[in-house]
Amino acid sequence: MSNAIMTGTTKKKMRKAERGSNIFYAALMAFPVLQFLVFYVGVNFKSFGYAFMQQEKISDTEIIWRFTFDNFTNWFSNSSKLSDLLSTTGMSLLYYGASLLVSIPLAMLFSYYIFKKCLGAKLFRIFLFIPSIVPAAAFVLTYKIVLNDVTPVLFNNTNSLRFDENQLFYILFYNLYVSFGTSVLMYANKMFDISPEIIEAGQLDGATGIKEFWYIVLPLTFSTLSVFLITGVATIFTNQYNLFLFQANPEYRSLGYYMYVLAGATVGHEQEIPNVAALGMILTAVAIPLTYLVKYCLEKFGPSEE
Amino acid sequence: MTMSKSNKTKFSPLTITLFVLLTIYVLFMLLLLLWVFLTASKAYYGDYFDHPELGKNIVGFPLKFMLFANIKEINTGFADGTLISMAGNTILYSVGCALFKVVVTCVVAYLCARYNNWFSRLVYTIVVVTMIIPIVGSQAAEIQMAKELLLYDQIWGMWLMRSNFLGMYFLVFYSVFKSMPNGYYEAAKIDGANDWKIMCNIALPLVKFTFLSIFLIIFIEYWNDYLIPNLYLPSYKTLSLALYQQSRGQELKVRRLQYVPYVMATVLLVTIPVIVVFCIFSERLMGNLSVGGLKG
Repeated sequence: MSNAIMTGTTKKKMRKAERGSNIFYAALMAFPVLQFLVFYVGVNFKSFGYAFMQQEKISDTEIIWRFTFDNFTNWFSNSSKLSDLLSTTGMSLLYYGASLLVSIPLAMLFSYYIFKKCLGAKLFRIFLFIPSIVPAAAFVLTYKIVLNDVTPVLFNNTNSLRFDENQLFYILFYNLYVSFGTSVLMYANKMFDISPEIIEAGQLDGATGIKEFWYIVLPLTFSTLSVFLITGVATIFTNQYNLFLFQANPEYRSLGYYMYVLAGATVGHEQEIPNVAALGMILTAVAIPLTYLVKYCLEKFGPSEE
Repeated sequence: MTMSKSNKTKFSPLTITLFVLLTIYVLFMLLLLLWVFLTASKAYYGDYFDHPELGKNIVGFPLKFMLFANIKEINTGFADGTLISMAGNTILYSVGCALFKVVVTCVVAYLCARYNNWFSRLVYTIVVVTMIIPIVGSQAAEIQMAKELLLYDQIWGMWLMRSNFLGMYFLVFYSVFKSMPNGYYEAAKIDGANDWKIMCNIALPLVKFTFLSIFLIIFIEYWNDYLIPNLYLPSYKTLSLALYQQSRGQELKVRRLQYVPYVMATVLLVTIPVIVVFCIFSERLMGNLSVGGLKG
């Protein structure tokens, strides 16, 4: 009898606690979920809607929106738009290629140097991170002024090294130079998680230097590297490479910067939004399968931590 | 960050090459910083531009230390506000956005890690999927949405718009909360603590260093941001944006402020706060973060 009462009371208490937990959970989740629904789902739906609409002026005071596919076809039928799209895509691929082939391998090697605690490792770790904290506006402007003003003084009044003469090379170099901060930090932190016994066993088997890096360290840090590789695909479509600050020639614009310029031009000109939204959809339609392809390839062909 | 001595090996051709590359990297940065300081300390007329002996004194030492005089001139030289008011805008923008973002991310990650239900799993999946799926070109619609909700050109509007839980830092918090032993929570529950107390008194204090690291990283990101304020906050000029406009000779009352020594003085002003933050918290900023794989 007393057991039955105890069980009943405990059950009641448990139900009350569970209800309390549910209320707590719902109360704390409410704002983030609402924020997500408005500023992610809502914004993307709105963008999706705009992509199929076009503003039409009926009279001086009346405007209507009508359904159309023109916003998409215009990007391919209008030669000026198509040319912009092709050139910015080409530049984005070039910037991404440089990052993939130079920046990421170098970041891995620098992380390995830090992991091995070689001479000056702590200092280099700090200096590699500094470009991530220095305002890009300050860094880019200084870099550009140094190239334009200082190189002619240092190299016999020659103008061939000035930024204006070699814009693409200097933009690539700058973006490579500042790219190591977070990635080196993450790779090195992951490398420090590698069990010393594994490294020692490798060394006993003769794996030192490049062999140790290639056969032991790289596979064991691959999960972190793959995060950067997978999320990096999006940068083809979004990264602006500080081109706003460089104010370089229009032929060096990336897709991300081009989209930023187009988005900026819509402020106060709502009729321009559908074109930008349609381009966004076109790029998203390319980006999603590409990202999943990279993810699939990394999972299928990448090294396993086991 | 613990390491055995066996990881210390002698120099190999690989590490020597890396040492040389890294030394060049550091030297380039140090020389750049030195040049910024020297140039910011020069007068434009009579030194940088028309030095009495050199003609142009671009790489030499300043004839007279003018840094503070240059800063004083810059402070009141902008057409739409002083440097101090812009610093205020920058602090409101960067601290507010970072705080909202980190608090929301941390709380949602805690809820997902601690409460194993279908909704938590859905939120986790959403975070991973949105990280992998790059949705491009919704910025124009976002600006329009901000205008419709009266958030456009409002600092608090930016705080709301940035207080989302998406992104890599969710995974960082999530993995920290997941790695906490359940025993902590069970013990607190037996002692009569409710969910709120467990979160505030047990879980959050245990992630305070991760919280601080992520807050600092995001704060620095927003401090340095010029693209978003340029589009969303036209009435709240931030330091980074002001620096850009100064270098282009835009929005200036005093035209000569676009000259190099003045621009470099502003570069120092914009950079010093984040360098100070970095010097104080460098270990926090660089030691607490790691990310595993992406599942989903």
